[in-house]
Amino acid sequence: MDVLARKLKDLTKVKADWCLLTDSISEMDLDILVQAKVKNPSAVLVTVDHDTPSGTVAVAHKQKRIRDFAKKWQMPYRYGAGIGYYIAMEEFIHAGDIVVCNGTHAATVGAVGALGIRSDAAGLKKILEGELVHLTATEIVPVNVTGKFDDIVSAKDFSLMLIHEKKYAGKIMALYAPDFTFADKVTICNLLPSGGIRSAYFTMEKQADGFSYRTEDVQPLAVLPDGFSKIASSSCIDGIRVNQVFIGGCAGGSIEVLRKAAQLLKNKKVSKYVRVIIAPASAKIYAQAIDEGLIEVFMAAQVLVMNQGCSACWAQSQGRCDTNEVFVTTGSINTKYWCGAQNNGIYITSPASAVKAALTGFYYEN
Amino acid sequence: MDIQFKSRIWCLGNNIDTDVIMMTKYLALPELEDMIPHLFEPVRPELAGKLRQGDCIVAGTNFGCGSSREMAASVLKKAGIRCVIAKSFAKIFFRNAINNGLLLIECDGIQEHCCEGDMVEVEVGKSLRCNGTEYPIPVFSEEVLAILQYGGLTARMQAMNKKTHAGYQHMVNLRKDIHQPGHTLAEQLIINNTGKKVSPGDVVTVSVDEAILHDIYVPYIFNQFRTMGFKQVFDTNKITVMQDHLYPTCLDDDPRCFRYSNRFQDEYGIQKVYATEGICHQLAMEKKIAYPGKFIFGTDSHTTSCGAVGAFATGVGYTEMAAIIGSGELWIRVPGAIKVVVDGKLPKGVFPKDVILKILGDLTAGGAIYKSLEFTGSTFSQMSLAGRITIANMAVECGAKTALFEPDETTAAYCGFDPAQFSWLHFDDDATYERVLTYKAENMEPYMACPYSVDNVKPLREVQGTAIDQVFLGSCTNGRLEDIAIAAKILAGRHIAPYVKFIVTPASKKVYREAMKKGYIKELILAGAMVTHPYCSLCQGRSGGLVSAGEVVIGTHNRNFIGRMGSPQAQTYLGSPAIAAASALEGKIADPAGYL
Repeated sequence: MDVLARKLKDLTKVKADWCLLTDSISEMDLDILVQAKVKNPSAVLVTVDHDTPSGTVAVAHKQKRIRDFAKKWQMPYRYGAGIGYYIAMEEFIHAGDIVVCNGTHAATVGAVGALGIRSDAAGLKKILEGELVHLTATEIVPVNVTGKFDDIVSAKDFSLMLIHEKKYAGKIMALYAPDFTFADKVTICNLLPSGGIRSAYFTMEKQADGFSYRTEDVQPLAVLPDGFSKIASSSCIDGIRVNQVFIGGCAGGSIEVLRKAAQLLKNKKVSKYVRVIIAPASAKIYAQAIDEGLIEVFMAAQVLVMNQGCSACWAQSQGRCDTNEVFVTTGSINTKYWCGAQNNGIYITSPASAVKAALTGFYYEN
Repeated sequence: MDIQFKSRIWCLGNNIDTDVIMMTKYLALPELEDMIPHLFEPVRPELAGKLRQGDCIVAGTNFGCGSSREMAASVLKKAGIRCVIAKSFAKIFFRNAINNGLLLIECDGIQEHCCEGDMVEVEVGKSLRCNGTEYPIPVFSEEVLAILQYGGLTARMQAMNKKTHAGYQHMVNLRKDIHQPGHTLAEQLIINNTGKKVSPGDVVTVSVDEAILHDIYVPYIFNQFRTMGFKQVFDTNKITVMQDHLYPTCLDDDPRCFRYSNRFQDEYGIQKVYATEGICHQLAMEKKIAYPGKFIFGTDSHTTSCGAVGAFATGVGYTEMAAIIGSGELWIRVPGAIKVVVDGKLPKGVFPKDVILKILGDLTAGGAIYKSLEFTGSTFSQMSLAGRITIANMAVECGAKTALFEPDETTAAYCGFDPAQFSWLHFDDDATYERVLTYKAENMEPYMACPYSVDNVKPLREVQGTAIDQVFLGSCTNGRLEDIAIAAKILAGRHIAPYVKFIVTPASKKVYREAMKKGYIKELILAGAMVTHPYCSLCQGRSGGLVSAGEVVIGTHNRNFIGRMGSPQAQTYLGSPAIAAASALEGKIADPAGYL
């Protein structure tokens, strides 16, 4: 039994090791949170990562309040240093930690074997004040996966397949997949909550009595616009015209995905009719991508390289779309009207599909 | 246009800039009507709701200073404003207003003797009457009057295009490349372009060598161009479209501007369309669009940057640009000139940015309206081209029509020409300058432009220690390699102060790639910077680091107007990249001397 499984014996009484606060929080929720008498400030990471640099005065105001809250309690604070989950995994949390966060994609930290749980503001306030976490998940489902991903199918497709099966909604998934890369794990933990799965984490121990999956059974999939209810074979959208492509976010901003994108973009130029944005997930990844020559490849391919952070996945001030436009992203949000008031929506796809759309201006079936 | 009318007065102060008239964030809205409710938003948010058809505005000096945005004029016209009466007008706004058929009246005196709601009686070209007093007003030149009588440049161009069925007849190139003694640099350039002997105040038509369009105004230019009746552009090689303001798209309407950029390329064969490459003024240099002797017009007020290599370069509005790309020519008034002489070696820690800030502080925001600002002296001949661009770039902040440096060995090496080729363009001892400013470089120190105007210049030591929230390193003013290099030198191996936000945006992709090769970008990222793709970034104030009430920003850019960086209650200080980097490190305005 792994550390987390032991910690999760009683789901109604769990001690949080870390809290993570990001600027995806609303002003109203922030009103609640800033009243907290923080019990253990050194175990609260505050990251401003979603709309950086701030796109509007209102956002700047909210971010300033978050900063002042961090300053007041002397909590670790990062502005614009990258996606909070990545910073948490790079610098702060470890396997077996329980992390409570205000963000939808809290489960992302499951990539390093921590359990990320999303909480509303009232709940998070109590936890900041030292209360135990009451997990609403019904059970922990053990899963074993064999195989690795290739040029055709990716971790994204696997996550979408799990979501599409619908049977894990409301549960925590404990995954054992010895051949997955870190980026694969991030992608999977990040996406699963969008399909109603409470959380997911990767463990180093093979799961007894677990569900079994093989990567060779996975098919290329895509999420059609306006929520995760429509997951379809990527052949369904073959040929649609694409206006904007984003490679970045939790699932697309890792060094592995950037390497893959650079490999596909090398010595090529993106279509002049497509806006292509790439944003590394963290400052560390950005620096490494420079060292490996990836950023140079993107620049030469006429890609727009934006600062580390959520960028066009958050899409509030980087990557807005006009009427009738189609946006293909490696990100994890495709809510209706997310990237503009009147566009034709966001398609969530694998990095390889996104790069092909960038080069041709069309979505190509893998 | 009515020659006589009565109008209700709304009062505004001095230096009402175009950001105040219409904030940048509204410029990409598809219709002018949509912008009307936002007129004067940063200073008088209630005013737009009160304006009625036929009202007029009475303001102080330098009305319409700042950016070249034509919406500042066209939205006023659309809102029904009959005329603007001011002590003086900024040069680009003046032309934009006339081109939109918006009447502007220069009058000094009425401001102190009228209140909002008073009525003024106007007799164009003759006088104003208000509260029992009569004020004389100037007569318009024939060129201006002709445009006003057509109701704007669009209608005038339509009429001309109807007359010439064979298409627009372009001017014959009369270039002489011969130096005529006794003239300022600006006059030399105009003489060379027109073949005519000229003196300040003359109205002449020049042939255009380069037209630079940037993305925000492209849809407006495109539509005006068609409305004017043009069937083709004057030269597909002399027009450049730069996508520098709107990428990454931060508002839903932004992508529309790129579609129009592509249409110019696809439908009219414009050769040069640059996306993701960087800021237009920097690209004008890198792509060799800026060249000594050329006449360059751009839809951006900082087009004066190209004067660094000895080109007559200035900003225009979108209507004028539509006329330029159709006709290949433009009327200009020959500007009077101010000479700025700086001799000697700049002390350590003093940069070209400090030099231009000192000059702007002395000249003031309206001190060189419609003048040619001409720079000479040993300090400039020792200065890098990048430094000269910084200076020419900011010359517009005191109202200058153009900023000029004499081409020399440095220019020749950058642009790739034989210095003898431009020997005709040099300073004349017997030329007449309206004013000469003389400085000793040794007496210069680091300066900062303090809130809320670029001419509110103080020595760094007077504001040192002011707590800051955000630092911006970038823009066409100071986003070049040597700017990034100095910041990287100061920040390498260190980390910015804990609660400071630090945005770095190189001016062009070339700058970015060179800075990356030299390791600067990585050093800045590891020091805590958010390094973005090259574009106008925060400088334009549409997104990318807007701040809220009470926040203090230090930037290396060019404007610190009220509301330019977001909240009208935020404050912006402008300074050199070295000050910016040192301040990011300390979390307060800091002297870079100790880090150099």
